[in-house]
Amino acid sequence: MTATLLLPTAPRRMGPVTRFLVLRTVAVVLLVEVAGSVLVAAGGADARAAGLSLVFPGAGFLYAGHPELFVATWVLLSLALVLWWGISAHFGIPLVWGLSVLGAWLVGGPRWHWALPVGYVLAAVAVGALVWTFEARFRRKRAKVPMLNEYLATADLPEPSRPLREPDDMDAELLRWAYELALQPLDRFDGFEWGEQFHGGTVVRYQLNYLGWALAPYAVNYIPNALGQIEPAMRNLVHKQTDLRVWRYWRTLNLVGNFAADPDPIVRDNIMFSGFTGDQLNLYEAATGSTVFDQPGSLTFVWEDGRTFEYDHHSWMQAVRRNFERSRLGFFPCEPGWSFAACNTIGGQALYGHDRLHGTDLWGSVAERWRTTLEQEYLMPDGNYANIRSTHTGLSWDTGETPGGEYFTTGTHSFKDLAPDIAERGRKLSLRGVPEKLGKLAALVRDGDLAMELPVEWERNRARKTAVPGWTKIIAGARAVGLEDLAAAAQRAGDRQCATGQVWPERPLDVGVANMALHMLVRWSTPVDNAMLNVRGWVPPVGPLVDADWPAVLITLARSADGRSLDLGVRPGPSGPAVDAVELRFASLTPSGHYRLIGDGVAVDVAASAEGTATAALAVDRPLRLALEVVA
Amino acid sequence: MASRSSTRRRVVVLAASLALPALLVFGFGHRGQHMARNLLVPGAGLWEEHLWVGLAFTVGMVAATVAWVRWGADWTVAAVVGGAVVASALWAPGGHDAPAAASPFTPARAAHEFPLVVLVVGALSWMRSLTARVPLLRRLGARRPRRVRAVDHARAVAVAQVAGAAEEAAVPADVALLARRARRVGLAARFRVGGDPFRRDHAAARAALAMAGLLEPDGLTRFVADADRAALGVPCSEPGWVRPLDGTLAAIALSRAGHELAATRWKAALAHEFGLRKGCRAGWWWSPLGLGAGSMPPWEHAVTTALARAEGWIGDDDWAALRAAALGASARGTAHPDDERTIAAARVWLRFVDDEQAARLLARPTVAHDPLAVALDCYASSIPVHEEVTAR
Repeated sequence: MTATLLLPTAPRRMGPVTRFLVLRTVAVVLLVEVAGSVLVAAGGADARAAGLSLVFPGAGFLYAGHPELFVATWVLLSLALVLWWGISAHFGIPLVWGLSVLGAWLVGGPRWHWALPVGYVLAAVAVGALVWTFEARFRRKRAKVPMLNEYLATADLPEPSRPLREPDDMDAELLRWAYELALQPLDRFDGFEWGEQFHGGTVVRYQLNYLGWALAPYAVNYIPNALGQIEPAMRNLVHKQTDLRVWRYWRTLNLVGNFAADPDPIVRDNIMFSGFTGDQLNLYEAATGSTVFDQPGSLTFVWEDGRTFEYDHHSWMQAVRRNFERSRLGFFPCEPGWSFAACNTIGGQALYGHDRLHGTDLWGSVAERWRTTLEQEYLMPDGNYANIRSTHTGLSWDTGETPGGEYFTTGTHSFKDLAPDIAERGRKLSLRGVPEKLGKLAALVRDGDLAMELPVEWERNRARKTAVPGWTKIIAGARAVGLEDLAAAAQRAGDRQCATGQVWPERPLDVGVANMALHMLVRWSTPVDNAMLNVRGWVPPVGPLVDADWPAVLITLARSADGRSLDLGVRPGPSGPAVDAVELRFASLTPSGHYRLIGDGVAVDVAASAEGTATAALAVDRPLRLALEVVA
Repeated sequence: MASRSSTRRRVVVLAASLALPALLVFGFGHRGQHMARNLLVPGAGLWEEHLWVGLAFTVGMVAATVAWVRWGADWTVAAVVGGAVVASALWAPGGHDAPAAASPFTPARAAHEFPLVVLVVGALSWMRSLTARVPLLRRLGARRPRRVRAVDHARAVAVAQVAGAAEEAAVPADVALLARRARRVGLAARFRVGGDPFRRDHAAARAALAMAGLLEPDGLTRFVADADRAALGVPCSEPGWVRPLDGTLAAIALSRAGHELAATRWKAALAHEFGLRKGCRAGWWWSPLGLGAGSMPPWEHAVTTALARAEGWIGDDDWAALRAAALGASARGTAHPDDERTIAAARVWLRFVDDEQAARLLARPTVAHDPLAVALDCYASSIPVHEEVTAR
């Protein structure tokens, strides 16, 4: 067994780039304080008021006897802080601060001289609080290092379970829903959830990403021998990313955050789009073998004025690599000025997957720097990684997107493809205590049944309360520590609690689109998950292939264990039980071979042509579990 | 091309426009100056002493211009101008004490209504384009109108007939709707009362009814006669106004009825009066003076030229001018009728031009709402791809 990567025993407070950015910020603030103090010391009454506002925003209004303007300054500063984070309005805080200086200079009024020391005290308290928060957290985490390294060196976690599942009724419902959602006309988005497109649970691009990520393991694990229905669905999900409504937000962010009016969503920053969708592209190609997006211009973005920005899989990844190389921090921004560890990991996944598929070296050229940035600029003493860092100031804090603003692993593959040693360390840290906790839950399973319900909690977009994310975590956690019986029982219990019985454009589970897709991803990522798929790349299926027309028939299972026979699951599609027989089309059969299609009351002889093809007419009026077997 | 009579009329109007102000100024002195100002901006001669009355005439002029441009009610403009002149004659002072009264008078150099028309129409176009750019206003302006306008209905019927659209895609002509509008416009613009509402003008409606076989035999005869009389070979849309889309539809209808002369003359008009200049074609042509101005909005340019291209009346030059607008429409989608029509018209164009990227992008939006756009889309599907396109 390879030794697990340990945590640094003498961790630094900041990486070199972060230190530079923070010190630069400190220098600027110091300059402002000095300038303010000069005005306070040497200026007249108006200059003193302005100088005090430089020392502490709005304090000059206190000096001038306008406490309401001091309060207003801080209300605006709070709003500016939100806008700084929300739409990269970096100028917000300096603007409000500057206006408080100007305003204090201009406004007349009584002179409250007691405000002079108060302004300095407030400034000192603010700085002190920031430093204290950072230092206290750092020391708290550093104190855990010996204990955590001891754990990492000795812990022996159970291997994850990777069962080869049979699709059940809920799998079929989810798959059908995903197909109906994806196969509607490209300009229709029925069934998606719309809201603001900058952040959060309503952005459509993430819904498209998650669905693409979820369908990839289904294609590989359940229907590798019947890609005819899932390939166009996954393809459409990529095409929909080029719909203007999905990526239009970038023009506003680029304008506000970079003062650039270019609407091109790939060329600069925006890794939350270019990296995420790049990864989706890779997994589409790896799962289906399609090269449609390798063609020049196959991914063209059109702006409102008719300008086009043409990309394909290759040029898209080149743009992602260029952004990595250009970035001072080593991680490049999502929203201008904000670099996320999660998004840059997914961006790395995108480059890695492209290399595996096409034999390029895009990831290789940035891998070392990526790892250095991760381990030096984002790693905390206790093995967590900071979620976000400002590329302007170097600052980082909990933005509320993830619990505590930190995580042991990130990206959608938890580093398994990019840095297996870091992945293993993160896995151990994130699963510390989990086998014991879940073991208690596993003890409640009786005859494969987990008789419990989870409390419902708000989704991130606050549109509804749901228990599905809770069940998803239990299923994922149970599989991660090898408790497959618990995972299976939790899946059934979750289906029981959350099933709605509805079809597209509604949802078969009582949850939003994004969380349902994440549930599907966890549900279907066995035995092959997306990290393994990203490493493996496209592997053509062995054994007989099958296809049938959608929406008449839904193929839920098509895989060959021995390369000669075929396990097949079909059921009626959205158009309802077929009155007439539907045609199943087989290929890659033994030329002129004889087969029999049997199961669930079906017994049909299938004779292959000299080209190894055949058809079988079947009345698919209910779910059928079949086997295509070779007749000796 | 425009007849010599139009040229003569333009000369006469120009001469009158120059002579009349001079006559008023030199004939009536200071009062005449006020009267003359009304020839440039109705109401301007009253602003100084009777501001509200003057503003009423100015606002009235805007309304009259709209009525003139939309329904051909040109008499309203003359009435407002005349009324303002008469009001100034009655109420303007004989002289002023203030030095401002001695400011020199600058005679209008051109037909005086037209600068104001251009001003008003230009202002309306600017406001419309502004609403398309400002996000909130764009959202408000992007709402589909609740009712289809009679003119658009006529156009949709006509295009569906051109397409030979299958029954489910055809637009049944609402003759009552078209007749109602024709009567109202006829009354407002020309005081026509009773009789056949389609006896003059209404190119789009008559084209639609002719191709749908709903015009009476003598109605068709009058249609042909009206076209023969017209300067450009097609009847007007509204009294005095020739609009290129309606003219194209009328020419197609007349051509299909066996009257090829209309097609020949209209083809010439597309080359001259409505010729492509700097990527634009004139938005309207006023027949009494033979003057064209404005430019067609992108959707109308796309639809007009798509139909004309399909008939072989123009070449491919317009595609270069329309391409960006078409792609922009495809990006915005089919939420707004203008974009939907542009997309559908571009699909007609793509049967004739080899533009693989545009074809791919313009295939994505679903055209399913606006009747004119749906009819155009059906038409596009029915046209065989041009041999130059299939050769790629």
